[in-house]
Amino acid sequence: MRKSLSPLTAVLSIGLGFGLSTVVHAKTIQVTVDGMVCSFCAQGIEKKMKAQAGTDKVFVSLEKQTTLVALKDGKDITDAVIKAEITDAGYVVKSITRTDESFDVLRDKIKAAK
Amino acid sequence: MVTIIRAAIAAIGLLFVCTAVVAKPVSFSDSWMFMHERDRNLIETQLFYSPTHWFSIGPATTLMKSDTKLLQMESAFLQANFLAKRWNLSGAQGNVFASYGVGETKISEAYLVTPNGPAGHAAHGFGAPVEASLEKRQYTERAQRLGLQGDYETRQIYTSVRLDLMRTENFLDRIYTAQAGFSPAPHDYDDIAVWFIGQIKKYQGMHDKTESGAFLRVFKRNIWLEFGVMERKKSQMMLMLTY
Repeated sequence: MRKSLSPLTAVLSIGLGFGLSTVVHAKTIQVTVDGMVCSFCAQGIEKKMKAQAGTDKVFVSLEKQTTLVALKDGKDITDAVIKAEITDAGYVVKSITRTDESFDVLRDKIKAAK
Repeated sequence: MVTIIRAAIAAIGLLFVCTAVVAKPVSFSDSWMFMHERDRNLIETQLFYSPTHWFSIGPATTLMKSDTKLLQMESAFLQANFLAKRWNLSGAQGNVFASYGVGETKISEAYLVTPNGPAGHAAHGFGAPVEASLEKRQYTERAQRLGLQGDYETRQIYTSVRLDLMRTENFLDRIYTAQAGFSPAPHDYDDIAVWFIGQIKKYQGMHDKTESGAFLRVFKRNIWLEFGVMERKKSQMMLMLTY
């Protein structure tokens, strides 16, 4: 006997799917970088991170020694790749953290903290 | 292996004694850098490509003129630049760069000639007989140049020392440069950074003199512009772009 999927079940399934995906994939990566003191340094890091397939947006703060990377939906960039790219740009990664907080919120927090 | 090569380059650089750079000759990997600097005695243009963050290569042209403008050296080089050492600190960065270039120099000289023969280089011809005539000659020589530079900077403090050597068969020219400066407000990536820089430059070779001056340096993102005044109202400017 074949049982068809009710519309309610379908909607719930899709919603659950999105929810799980949000849990599994962080939205934003926050990288603290040593040696980043001028706009040329920031430019190099921004260019490297923008070149990643999983990157949606990049924000660099010299004051906070921080780079924010917004990830595309369902995409990720591994810590190893981040370290390699920033080392290749000439700088040293101090820490990498992942969060579900949105890129825009984190960027605004950093800007407001100046 | 790479570490050994870079250490060797740094050691060779240190043999030539001094200093550090005014603008960094090596940028981040896969980037282009254009630099143009000019003052009364020097016009220099450089275009470098950096395949890595510790090496860049490209053409460089230099026009050097004596104060009297009677001796002029016009050079073209293929130049390689190395980041020999970088210290990435929290909120600060230090660097040692070394550069080496090979090329040719076209030398244009003017001499005072008296009825009894050459009276010497025109640039030093004060007191020569009134009847002396000016003769010019041009010739080309192979040339090499070596640069060594070190710098330390935060978002508000900048210091650098630099040595530039240029050698042909008949000339050895040296320029020692030291800069120190500050930014009244720490800048961020999207801000316009404003710096006040003091400079001392010692010339040996074509000139034997020491000059001091003050500069305003402004940069935002990938554009760097510097202009200022040295002693005797000599202006100096530099433009640098990276992509």
